[in-house]
Amino acid sequence: MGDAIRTVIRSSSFVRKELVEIVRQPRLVLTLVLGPFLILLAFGAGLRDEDPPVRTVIVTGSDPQVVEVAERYRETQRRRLDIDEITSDRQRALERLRAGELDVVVSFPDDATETIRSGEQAVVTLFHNFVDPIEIKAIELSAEQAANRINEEVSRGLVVRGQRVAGDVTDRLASTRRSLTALEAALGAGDPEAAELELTRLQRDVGALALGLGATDAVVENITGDGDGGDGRPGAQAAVLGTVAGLTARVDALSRGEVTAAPAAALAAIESDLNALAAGLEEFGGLPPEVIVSPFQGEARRITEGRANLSAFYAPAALVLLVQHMIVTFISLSLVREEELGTTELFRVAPLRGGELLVGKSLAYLLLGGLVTALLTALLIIGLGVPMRGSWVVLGLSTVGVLLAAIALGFVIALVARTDSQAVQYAMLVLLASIFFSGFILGLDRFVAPLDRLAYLLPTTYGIALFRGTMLRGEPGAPVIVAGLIVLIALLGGASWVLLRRRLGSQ
Amino acid sequence: MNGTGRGRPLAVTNRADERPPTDGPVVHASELTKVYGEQRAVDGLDLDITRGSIVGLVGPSGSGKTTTVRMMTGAQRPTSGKVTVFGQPPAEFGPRERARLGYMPQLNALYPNLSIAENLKFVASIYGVALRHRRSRLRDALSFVDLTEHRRKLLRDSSGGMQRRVALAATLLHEPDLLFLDEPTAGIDPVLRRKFWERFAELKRSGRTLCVTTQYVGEAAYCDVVAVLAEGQLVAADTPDGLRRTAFGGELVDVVVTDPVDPGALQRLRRREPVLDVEQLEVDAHTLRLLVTAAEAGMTAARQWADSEGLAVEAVRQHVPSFDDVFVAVLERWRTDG
Repeated sequence: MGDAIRTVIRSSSFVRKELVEIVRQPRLVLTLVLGPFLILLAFGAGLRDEDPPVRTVIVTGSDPQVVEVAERYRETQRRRLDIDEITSDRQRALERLRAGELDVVVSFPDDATETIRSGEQAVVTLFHNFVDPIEIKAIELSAEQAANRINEEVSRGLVVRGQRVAGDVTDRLASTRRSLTALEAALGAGDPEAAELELTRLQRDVGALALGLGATDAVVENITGDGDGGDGRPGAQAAVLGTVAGLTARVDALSRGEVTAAPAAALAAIESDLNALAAGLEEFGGLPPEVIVSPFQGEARRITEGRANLSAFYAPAALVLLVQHMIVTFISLSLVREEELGTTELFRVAPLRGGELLVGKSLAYLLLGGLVTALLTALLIIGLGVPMRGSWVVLGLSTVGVLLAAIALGFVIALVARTDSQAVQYAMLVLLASIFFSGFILGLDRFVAPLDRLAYLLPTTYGIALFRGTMLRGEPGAPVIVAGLIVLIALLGGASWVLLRRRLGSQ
Repeated sequence: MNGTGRGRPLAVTNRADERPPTDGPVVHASELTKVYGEQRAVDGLDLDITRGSIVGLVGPSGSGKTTTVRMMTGAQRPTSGKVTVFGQPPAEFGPRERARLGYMPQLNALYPNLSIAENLKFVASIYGVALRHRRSRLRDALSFVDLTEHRRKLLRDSSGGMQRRVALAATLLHEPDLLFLDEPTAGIDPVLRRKFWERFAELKRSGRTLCVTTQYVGEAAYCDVVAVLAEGQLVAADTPDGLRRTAFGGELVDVVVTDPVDPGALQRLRRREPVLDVEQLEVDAHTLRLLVTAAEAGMTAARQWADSEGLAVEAVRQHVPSFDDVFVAVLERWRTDG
């Protein structure tokens, strides 16, 4: 019998032995498959997509305008904030916050109207007692968004009023058109007295028109805060005001007798101005107040199809993490227990090579890990509705890669550890490192160099990128991830082989 | 496990006629030393093991037996000195040479969650036993240790004695030439211990060489050569009878007389050949213990002496001291002699 056949016999003995040993422990098998799935299920079912409600009290002074704004704030923040009451007792609200009865106190200033009238911004303060920096960041962002929403609401009200005024101006525009027509008729009839009378009427109508439009200008000034009526005005309103200025100048010139050569042309120009004015007013009045106040709205859109909710985003990563932990723990315990049972001593004397043991055990755990991953993936897709947008072949190859890296890591741990409690401790350390550094919770780019390199020593880092990419994006991601995983397998596999040879060699 | 039991009395291949006797010892250790830190676990041990013999390494716990065996199997390298097995240092053995060794470690080195048969199949596999031979070897090994009926039992559900039998069977599956059995009888009852030694004798008769360590000094009687170890050193190495002689300086003969013996008669007895010394046992003044160079000649001399002295003799018999006594005597002598 050749050496090659003996090598196959020796390696295959470990495949069978490891699998039979695990299957002989039904509780272990249950823990192995059902345990991770129940964790994943609880994770997926328990994770809410929306931010949790924040128990809030709004504090205002006695100013009814501020109370009105606070009410509007309450409406706009209903989804995020669970607003308990609107009160004027700031002290009591802050005491409740300190006692942990509230999460947030939104405090409007007592003299908000006065502050605004004096040309300053009124500050809405958001008191909280969070220590979680992510929660603090969210609350700060929320405070900023809330202020913007309040400003938008105030501005919207003013625009509505402006549009109402613009409606009145439209009526005056009709009267002005009539005066212009009468003037044209008087001039056409060669009746200077009537013409002068109609001109006077026209001048009065244009004056009234300018006055009415001035009121809308003031309204819009309030919205934009731009006192000179310049760039800050909405486009339609600026165009209207420009036209009115031209129209007033033309009518004034006509009344002063400056236009004698071609009064028909001057009247045509005035008519043109009135048409432009009508068009401008129509545009201003026809625009929704929201568009005038906030012409631009932000919208984020994925360039690929589909959308994953929070649990679908975390579930593939949790699967990779659980499978890695399972494999690392089992393989390291398997080797350490063999040391404790004395079988390692038998291996030292037997015609067994380190490579044969390495290949045999790797195959066993590759089969086991592959089976568990397949089961859990199916349960994720069927049970939790996690999408599978990529290729199954790519996902299969990714699984093999991650499992090989985890197996090699398990070997390294087992060959460094001396007791099973040490092996479990080391496996737990790997799990902790994987939770923090692999991109499971925080993105890899949040870590500073050189600590960000630590992530690339962990199989989960590659597994999470590959699983999320394949399942959620439909493609595994950058080739550097695949190359990195291959390098990691080679490094950990090489280290395992060297350590195993040393362990099985003469001591 | 007895020879007339349900299984085959000896189911392993008889190799006595298959391999020509090799010149020189199968195992040769010279100045063999192993040091762990400050401690000399084995200290300058010289020992030869000849083919087809049972060599017992006897000594108290911590005397260096296991370390010696580990160096002989190649599991450990000597710190100094040398050991050769089949003419080569075992630490440099390749798979073929390793396959000629059978090793039963002190721990069972088996898997509790596998059945007896599965454990044996696994061990057969790591020794590269081909599938076509595995079934018959397994059957023979199970029969040899009387475990055929229990082959499906999980190891964790088996008794300690049964587990040791499985471990012994596992050692035989690849039909090794040389077996190292490290305390195979530790923790098992005397009846089973005796059966184990019967099996070892069968293996010896089939041409195999056995090196067996034991803390049970009495088991030295089953060995061809007994090597007594203490504090890492070889105290004595001899046949069991040779060891007895070494321990006491000769053989012992007890003479039981009916009447008290006067000092003059005792002096005359001491002067007779081959008597070296005479001791009157304190517990029984009628019994004299003679230290003689040879037991048969000593008994003849004792009878002649009693006739000449006119003493009535109830019995004259050789006294075979227990190996416990021999062991204690050997150690005392070694410590006294430095």
